[in-house]
Amino acid sequence: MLLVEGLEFSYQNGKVLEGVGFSLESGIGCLLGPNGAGKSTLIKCIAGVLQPTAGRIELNGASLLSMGFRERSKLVSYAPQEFGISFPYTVFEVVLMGRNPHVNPLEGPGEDDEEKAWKALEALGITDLAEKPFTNLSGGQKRLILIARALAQEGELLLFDEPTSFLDFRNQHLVLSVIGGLAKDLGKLVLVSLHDPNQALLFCDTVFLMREGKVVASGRAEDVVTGENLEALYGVGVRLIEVDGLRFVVPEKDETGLNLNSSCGGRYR
Amino acid sequence: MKRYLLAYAVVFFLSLFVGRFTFSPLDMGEIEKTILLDVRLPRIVAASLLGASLSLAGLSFQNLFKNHLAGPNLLGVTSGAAFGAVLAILIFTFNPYLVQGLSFLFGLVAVLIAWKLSRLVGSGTVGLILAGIAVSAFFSALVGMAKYLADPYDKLPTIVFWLLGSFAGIRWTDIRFFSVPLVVSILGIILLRWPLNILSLGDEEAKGLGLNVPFYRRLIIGLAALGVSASTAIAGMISWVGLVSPHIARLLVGHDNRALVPASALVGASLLLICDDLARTLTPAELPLGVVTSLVGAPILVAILARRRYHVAR
Amino acid sequence: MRKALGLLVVFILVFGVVASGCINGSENASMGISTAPSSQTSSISAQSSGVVLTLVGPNGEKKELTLDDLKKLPQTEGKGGLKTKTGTIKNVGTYRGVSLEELVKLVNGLSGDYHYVITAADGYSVSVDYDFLQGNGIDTMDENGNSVSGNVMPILAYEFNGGPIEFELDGEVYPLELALVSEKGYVTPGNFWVKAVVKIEVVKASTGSSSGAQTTGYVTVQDFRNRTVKVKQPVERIVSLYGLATQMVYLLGDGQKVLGSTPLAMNDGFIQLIDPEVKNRMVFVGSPKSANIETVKELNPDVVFTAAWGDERLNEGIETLGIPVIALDLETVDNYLKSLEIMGKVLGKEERAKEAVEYYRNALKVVTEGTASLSEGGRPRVLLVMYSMKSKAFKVPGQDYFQNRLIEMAGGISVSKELPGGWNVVNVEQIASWDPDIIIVVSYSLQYPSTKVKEDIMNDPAWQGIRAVKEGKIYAMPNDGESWDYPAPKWILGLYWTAKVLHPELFSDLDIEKEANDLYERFYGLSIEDVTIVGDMP
Repeated sequence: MLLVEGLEFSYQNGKVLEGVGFSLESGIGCLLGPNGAGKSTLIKCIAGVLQPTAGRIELNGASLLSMGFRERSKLVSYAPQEFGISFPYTVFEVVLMGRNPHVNPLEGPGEDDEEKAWKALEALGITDLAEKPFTNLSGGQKRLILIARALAQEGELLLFDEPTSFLDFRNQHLVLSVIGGLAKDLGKLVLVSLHDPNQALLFCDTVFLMREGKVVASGRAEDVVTGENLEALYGVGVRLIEVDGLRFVVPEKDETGLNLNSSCGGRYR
Repeated sequence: MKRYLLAYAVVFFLSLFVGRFTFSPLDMGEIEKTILLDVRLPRIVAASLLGASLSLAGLSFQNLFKNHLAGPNLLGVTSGAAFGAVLAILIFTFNPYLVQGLSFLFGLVAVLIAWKLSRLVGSGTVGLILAGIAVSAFFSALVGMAKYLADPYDKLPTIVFWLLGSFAGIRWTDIRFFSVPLVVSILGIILLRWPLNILSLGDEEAKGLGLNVPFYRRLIIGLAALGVSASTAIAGMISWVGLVSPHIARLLVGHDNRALVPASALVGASLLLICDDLARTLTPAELPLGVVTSLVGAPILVAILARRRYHVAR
Repeated sequence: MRKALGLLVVFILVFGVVASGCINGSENASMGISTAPSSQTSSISAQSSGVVLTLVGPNGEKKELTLDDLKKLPQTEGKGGLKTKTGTIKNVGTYRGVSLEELVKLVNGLSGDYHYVITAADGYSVSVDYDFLQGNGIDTMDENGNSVSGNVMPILAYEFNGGPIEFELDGEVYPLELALVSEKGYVTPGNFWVKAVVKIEVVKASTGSSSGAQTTGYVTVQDFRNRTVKVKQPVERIVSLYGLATQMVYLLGDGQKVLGSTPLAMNDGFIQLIDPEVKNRMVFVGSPKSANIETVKELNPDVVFTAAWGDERLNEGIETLGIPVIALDLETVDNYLKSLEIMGKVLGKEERAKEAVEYYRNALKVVTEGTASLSEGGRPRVLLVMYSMKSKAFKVPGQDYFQNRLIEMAGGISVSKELPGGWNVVNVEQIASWDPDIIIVVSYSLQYPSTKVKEDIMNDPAWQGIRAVKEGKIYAMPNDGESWDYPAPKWILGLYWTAKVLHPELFSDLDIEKEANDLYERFYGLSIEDVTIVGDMP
């Protein structure tokens, strides 16, 4: 279980996270909110990439903030939004790097690690890409490889920062299904950030709405992703439709186009 | 890797028997032995250590700063070391040990200044690069000033020759002291080749993968600076080797630093050894090493860039 | 408005280009005279019946000669060629004409008291002295431009390779060229090969100018840029951009007048001995290639000495401030002595300069006569080394440097003379490969003197295997504040010393210390006890 309390973070130009608090028991949690809400920052704080100025983060009772880099990364796997890899490492090498927290820095990964990396590739069905240079692949494939890497890292908590960005329609759903599979089949705790409410509804169990550095609503997906809440969050009028037992969010249109409320920040339920 | 070790050994062995004073290995009198053991061998050892060290420094910076064109002078080490030597030549004449000492000292000072400055300029790697550029420019300017003030009959030619790099006159005594930082630098970076892989992903991902980024970055930069400072103190400014050797090694073994780091060291050692063999054998007078490495290195770099099959992401 | 500004800029640019083109070219070559003597007959009839040369005697008497007149005088034929400033060798061939000596005899002008102004049709003129007429003081080279010793004869030539010489200018044809010829066909510097000569004037030396006025308070000399320079007398304030020239000023006794010079002079131990105030007085001004013109102006000198290889723009800059610049060449013996004469004239110390030149010439004679009879095999192979400031790396002089000539004159062969330029760094392997018979060690600093360098070399295991070291044939060049091997006034002592070191049997009665004492007394008022000399005395 992931517990976050009173988390605060500021960049030089201002506060980004103001007293964020939420908890995720199991399954897939989703941070949903507009651009600039602080989703990436929150994830980076949990991953240890950024150092929060105040607050607590606990995973299964252990405080993440008091852990060293290595210890923490054994528990928390993180896949960033941007592809920072500029050298054409092979796919296998990339996934192998996920084993870093478990590896002696002076020795590098051993046979054991290589096996686990291979298994991660198998789990995602991308073993045929193993020898290809990472930089030559498509966005969707790269995403899958980063997921494999996060898997190889063997963390209890998997963090995915906007895993659907830069992907086409098919790949978005592919990636989200794979992530969903990880949670269900392997019992991992997963936290993703998304900005498409439909995806949140389709794939996530728990949803946390974020706005301006705060979590403003949390709970089960179907409870939280409501027309009122979305209108208040995005300032766009929406309707909810049910088809075959699945819920979809559809923006409302009036004569002038989308029904954009000028006032945001209504009540959240 | 064994292949490359063998190739280096061949270059090493051949270098022993190349030189202005020709003799057959089977017929060695007293002077031949002295030349072999006292003149050529220390020079070959020095060239190997320096080549490896510069190459590893270049490779480290290329990984740390995610820049294929990074060389050992990125943080201003070489410029600082050059200034130290020039200062010694101008003020304390006829003391070659002082020249080497000040050179080594100022090389490290330059990196420290770049480090402190980077805090002001910005955090992370971008700040370091910018600070390094500033420090490098500053010390280069001071060197230029020193050249202007030096008298043109004696000190100026000495400074110019020193700046172009040379192993002339290297003996065991010169290497004795500096072999320590050189070996520490080379071994250190080789041992840290796995963290280097992680660091090359960028600060954020590296942290996410559990690497204590500030610690390892400082450590690797420190090791690289040790090696480059020592190199410049012994032999002056040697260009291109640190930049080109990692690229050659990449063509041979790929990008994974676990193989690339040792390969770069061997390629660097071999390359510099070959260049020095040319510098001391082609003509009666010693050719400045920096000239030979540039003449050899620049075409190699072009050939490599033309052949590159991979492309940098984004 | 913008358009007008743009047009103005373009106009200024164009004007600048055109103006610079017109201002240049006061030399012979750019005035449209063809640069090679042509051997075809031109369409303009040869003027063998007209006057081609005017001779002016020392008292003004004139004599006009036609080509036929010239052909009736004693003829001289020989081979020669010229080397241009850029290093090209051209116009090599056989010249026929009348020697300058013969010509000036016709107006009773053959004497050491006179000098001679040779004028060309375009107004260009050179001034030469009696020595020149005898063929002395001229740089001789082989067909590749390398210096060799030899003699040439200056003639006024009218025939080149069997055909008449013709230079065209403004529709007229001029048949005479000043040529330097010899049996062996030595090549000489191109600045003496005056084309289209029309007049030779004999001028009394003491007046120093062809107008003969003695009361102007100026001297006129020609420096090594071939410029005629006027220097106001007396000279009290001197700036020398060329350290070696400063040392020459001290030789002539005017060292205290030097206000600004270079680090070479300012740190010179010998100068400090004879002029203890030098460090307080002398100001750093720069070098022949780059100097602070304002500093020079501030010192307000009467004359500035610089090197012939200096930057011409710098010289011009100084000259536009109204300060005369004299460029000297000190790298060959002949040029050294010539510079001495020029300087003597400029400083009003002609007698002293003459004395010095004679002293040098006599000393040279002693050495060269002694070594003239040496065969190739009798000349030892000599290595001159200097410490390079990099531990255990040494420098040797290349072909441009004086040290090689010194060794040659002393009867040796310098192993490094094929190397290019000045100081070259070599390693001990190369020295072993050269296997010299004798090693001479020099040092220009008393902090690390030649004797110490010699000691270090002898203790170095790598050198111990070299034959010359094993045989003990390694000598430290003396340094009395100035090392005796480079073109400072003491080089003559260096020559004596080297000759004795290389050929002790030939010069067994040459006492170096006595000669040094002699020089010190004559020119510096010191005795040898006053001077600290570091080095080996053979």
